[in-house]
Amino acid sequence: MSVIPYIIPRTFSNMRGNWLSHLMTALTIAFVVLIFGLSTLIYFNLHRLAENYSREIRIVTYIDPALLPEDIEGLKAKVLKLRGVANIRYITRQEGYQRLVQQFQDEKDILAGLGEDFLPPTLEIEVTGTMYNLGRIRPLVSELTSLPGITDVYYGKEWVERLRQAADFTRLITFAIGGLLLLTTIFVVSNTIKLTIYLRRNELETMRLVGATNFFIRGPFVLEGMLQGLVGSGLAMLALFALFEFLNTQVSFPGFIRFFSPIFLPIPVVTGIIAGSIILCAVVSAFSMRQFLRV
Amino acid sequence: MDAPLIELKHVYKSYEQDLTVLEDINLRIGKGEFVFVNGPSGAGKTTLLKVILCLERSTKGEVWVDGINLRRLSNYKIPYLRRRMGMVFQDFKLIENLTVFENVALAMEVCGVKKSVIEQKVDQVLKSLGLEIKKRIYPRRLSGGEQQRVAIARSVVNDPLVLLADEPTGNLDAGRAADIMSLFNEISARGTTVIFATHNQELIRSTAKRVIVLDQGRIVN
Repeated sequence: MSVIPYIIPRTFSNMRGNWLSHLMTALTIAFVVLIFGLSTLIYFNLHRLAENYSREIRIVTYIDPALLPEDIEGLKAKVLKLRGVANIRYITRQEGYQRLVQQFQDEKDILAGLGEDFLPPTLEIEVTGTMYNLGRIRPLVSELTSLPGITDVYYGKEWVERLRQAADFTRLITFAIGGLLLLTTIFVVSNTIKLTIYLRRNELETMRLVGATNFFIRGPFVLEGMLQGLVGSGLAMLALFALFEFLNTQVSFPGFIRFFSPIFLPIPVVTGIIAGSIILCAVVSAFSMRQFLRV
Repeated sequence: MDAPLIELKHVYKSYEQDLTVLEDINLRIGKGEFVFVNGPSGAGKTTLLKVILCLERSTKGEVWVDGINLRRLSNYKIPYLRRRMGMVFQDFKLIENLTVFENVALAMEVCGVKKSVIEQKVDQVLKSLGLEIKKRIYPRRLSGGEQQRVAIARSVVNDPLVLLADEPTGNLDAGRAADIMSLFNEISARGTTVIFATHNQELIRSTAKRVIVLDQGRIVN
């Protein structure tokens, strides 16, 4: 004998009878999830952008020209062992000069009078390409500077720091909005449930009198909460996708991100947000009922 | 008397230290017995029924129903006990947005009985109470007497051991009250124990049943 076949139709009949309050709750959830989704989308794309640029990051170290070839080999081995170093390339003085010649082939006069060995030998260092390693660049530079044989270290310090700060800030905003989502959902869903309980207190009392278990009484409320979570977060994801498509086709991105093509949140993230909303609403509904479910 | 179906031993019920609603109640009610609980308003009749139905826990003393000590009954098991009892109220306690059929069926749905069984049983009970043509109607369109019959149908549809009635004729005129009274007599005749709380002396005088008189929370007869 199971009460489940009776709980499901009761859920829908309750929702029909109180549709306006359920609709308002679902729309409020949709609004909050939309803000959260938008923030996640920005963070996600910024993360990708940073990853793309991280791959382009080169740290250039100038090497003491007096180093012997075996010292250079020792130095290369030491650099390769440092955390955050993906690859290195040794550029001799001659190779460095040839690069300059190629870069200034239309203005050869600039290099007139400079010998092929006027540049020091250099090590070009590629760093590992994740967002979090941006934070590792400064300590890596310090470590490189302290190595004997390295005379100077250069990297795109300013924009690397800016990118890192922007990513950190967006992550912070995403977490803050996540917290806001949590509190708003708890407040809205819990109040809807309490209002419904108040409106239907006589019915619920009658159920208790005829021997309904807490599961039978609570079941429809939890299902209602889950449906509100599903509808609210589903609507939010649809609206976010529409907004994303609009911005992607109608708005041209400025400056250095012009060639970056943003992508929508991956399916697992969208599923996670919807599943999270459903679970959150179910838990809040169940807890809101606790006060009423005294025997 | 055989082993009683309901037994109360030195039962007290207080809400606050100075508000005692039931005081030293000792009571034995046998299977199939019909008992009136009589007394003025505020005598403790409703509280006594609530204690038996486990809607209220006694403050002191023991309450036994069909061999179960309610003091030791866990909260989890209370709904299962209530399914073996029926209760009828003065204000009917019908659910307004459910039809007559759905109101009665609810008592079986909470037990998880199959739909086909529910349909058969509810139809049978409604027929026996003369309500079969009203089964699709909502309670607000019924007279007071009809609403009370629906409440009785709901309370007996699970064939309870005990039927508790709290002023079931309180909102009805004399004619309707007599109809309802005869229904309780029929239910009792089928072997169900009936505990009928009322302050209506005429109703009590019209039958020769056992009467428990309460006054200020104490049994006085």
